[in-house]
Order: sequence, then C-alpha cells, then structure tokens
Amino acid sequence: MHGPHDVGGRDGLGPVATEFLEPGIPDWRYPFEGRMHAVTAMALQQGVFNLDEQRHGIELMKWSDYTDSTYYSHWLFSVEKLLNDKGIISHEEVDQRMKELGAPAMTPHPAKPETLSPLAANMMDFIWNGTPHDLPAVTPPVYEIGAAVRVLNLHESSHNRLPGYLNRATGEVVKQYGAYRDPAASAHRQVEEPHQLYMVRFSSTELWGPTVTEEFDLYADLFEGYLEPVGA
Amino acid sequence: MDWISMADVEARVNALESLMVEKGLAEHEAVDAVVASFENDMGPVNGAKVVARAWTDPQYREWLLSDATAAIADMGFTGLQTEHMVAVENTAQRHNVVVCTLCSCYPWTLLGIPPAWFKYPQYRARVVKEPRSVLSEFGVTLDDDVKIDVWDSSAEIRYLVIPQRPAGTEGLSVDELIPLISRDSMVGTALVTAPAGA
Repeated sequence: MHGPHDVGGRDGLGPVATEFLEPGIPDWRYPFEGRMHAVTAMALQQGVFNLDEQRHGIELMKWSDYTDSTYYSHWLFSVEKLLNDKGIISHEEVDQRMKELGAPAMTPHPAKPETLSPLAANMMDFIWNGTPHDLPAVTPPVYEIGAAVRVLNLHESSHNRLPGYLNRATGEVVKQYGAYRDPAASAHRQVEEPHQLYMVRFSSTELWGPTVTEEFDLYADLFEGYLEPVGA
Repeated sequence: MDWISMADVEARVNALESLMVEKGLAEHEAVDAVVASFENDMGPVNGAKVVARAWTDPQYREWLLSDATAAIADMGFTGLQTEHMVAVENTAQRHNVVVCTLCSCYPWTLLGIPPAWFKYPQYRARVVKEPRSVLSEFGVTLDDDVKIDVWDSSAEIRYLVIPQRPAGTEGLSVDELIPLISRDSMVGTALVTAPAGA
C-alpha cells in the first residue's frame, strides 16, 4: 500500500534529522525504546504475529501520527493493534494498566541477568540465529540477469514491499536471489509462500524524469509479481 | 488509538510490557536480557571488524563481495536482520549509500541499532532522489566523476558498504584500523579518514 511509510522521493518532509548526528548519543535514547524493541522481538519469537504483520501494522497509522511521532511509537501502535485485534490484550486493558501503574520507572541500560530463564535463553538463540526468509523455490525465476523489466502499475491497499516511486519504472535485472517469503501472503494470511526475488537497477533519469538534478543508479530488491517484461 | 505524547508512549510501553508479562508473553528480566544483548553485543564495531579484515586480506574481500552472508557469518555475525547480506564496495570511481525507504531495515547483529536519522522519513525520502545533496549535508563531498549507487533495501536483503581504505593507513594493523571505521561509513554517509599523523 502507498501509506505514510512509503516516503521514497517525497518532497516536503523536511531536512534530514542531523541533530541526531552528535557523537555519544546512544541509539536507544530512552529506556522505553529498547523495551519496546525487546517485547516486539519476544512476541515474534513466540509466533504471536510475524514480521510482515508487524510492518503492515505500522503502515496503517494515521499519516500525521506517522510523520510526526517518535520512531518507537510506530512499533507500539502496530504491536498494540495486533495484540488487540488477535484478542490477546485489548486497548482498554492497556489504558487501565497505565492508570494503575502511574509514572514508569524503567532502568536505562539494564545489565544482562546472571542466569537466563528459558524464555531469555530462547531470545538469545532467536537473536543470534535469526529467522531466514528464503524458501525453496516452486518455480524457476522468469527473468534472467540482464533482462529489461518494468515495474507494474501496482496500487494495492494491502501490504507489499514495492516502494511507490518505482511504479511503472523500467530497470535491469542485476541479480537473482532465489525465492523468499512473500510479504503479502505472510502479512494477510500468515502463510509462507515462496516468491522469486530480484535485484533490479534503475537510472535516476528513469525514476525522476529528465529535469532530475543528479545522475545516479538506484537498486531495489523486488518480487517477480511486481514486474513484467519490457515489450509486454 | 489517538495521537499520544512521548510521555504517554513511555507509559503505554510500560503498561504493555506489564500485561505481556501477566499473559505469559514476556518476562521483565528477559526484556532486560534482550536490551542488554542489543546494547552490548551488537554495534558498529562488528561491521568494522568485517571491513578491516576485507581491507587487509584480499581473499576475504573477494569472499565478502561474492557471498557476504557466509563471509560475515564466518566472523560470528549472524542472526536477526543479518540473515541475508550483500556487501558493496566504495572505490575512487564509485560511492555506495544504503536506505530503507519503506521502514528502517538494517543489519542489527552486524551494525547494531540504526541511527535515528536512518529511521525517520526525511533521509528515506530524499536520499533516493538527491543522494549527492544529502551526502554533502553529512559532510561527504564527492568529486563529480564519482558515481553514486543508492541501495533501497526493500526486501530482506541487508547491505554493508565497504568504505575505501584511506591513504596513510598501509602500515596499520587490523586492531588499529577497526576504530577508524565508523558506523556511518558502513551505511555510506561518511568516509573513513586516516588518523592524524598517519
């Protein structure tokens, strides 16, 4: 979907947030950031929801909330919505618990516990083993390296990983990655479907038109279903 | 859910964690362990070790360029968001810069948590349209004949930029090179400079 997250090429969002360039600022400036990241990873590890659902949840934010809010409030929005919609923890329970707990007292930069519980040990495995996203292919890739491809005029309101600025652009296949988990099937049906993935190169003039001020190449990783052969 | 202030975000995260613990989905100490793991065991120094090895070992550099996932895993950097890697090399003729326009995809176990500017919409909007201008705002001024390649990590592949090794570092050991290699140089928004007196 071309939601508030789909910002590639958009004007008017303002200057790059260079105030964060100061050295010595930890990347988690506030304890709630690390804890939100951790509980999200925990829910993912236990299969409460998957990564594509979590990303799609963020895409459903109100535009003004998305662009004007602190980054981890996006994760909070998505995770809370998923837990609510799946009947696990309701928004009202969170409202109520906030009142009961009062002002939080989170420990910044906690030390690792001396002994790890089974859940904590599982989380360490999860973090360091990761979750590979490739799958055995069911069909071979349609496009060869060097093939000229055009991105479809694809405007779905559902989840995909097609940046809007690439709609209808013509590029060249540079790499075949093999099959990866299709994000839409994962986000909307919680199934793992293999889909061929390609690295595709685009020129800046192709993307931004003849008046573009800079000349460069742009590479994106695109699923086969987003593409058609040039000449089709 | 209506728009909420930063203080309310913190209170809400606090409430969410409390409820998740109650429902058996989380434990406070396990959250501490995950936070500690991210803050202490992950960070740009992991990536710097990979780059320093590529600079000093031509066979490793070849391996990194042809199969970054395996080469990076060989150094123990595996795991969340580092499962599928591609390394792209800066040269005198070519400069690479990485972005995730759709969210904030970043190889966590290799480079740590991404910096705020990488995650917020402004960089993501502009670097795919005017990378040279954006780079100059980061203090990176490239000669006109240097070609820029921008990498939008729109799927699960994550990118590591191998910055150019600066002149004057030929005599330095791997351990001396590692501290020179900044996080931003591995995203493409900084160059590596030789230490003073090199």
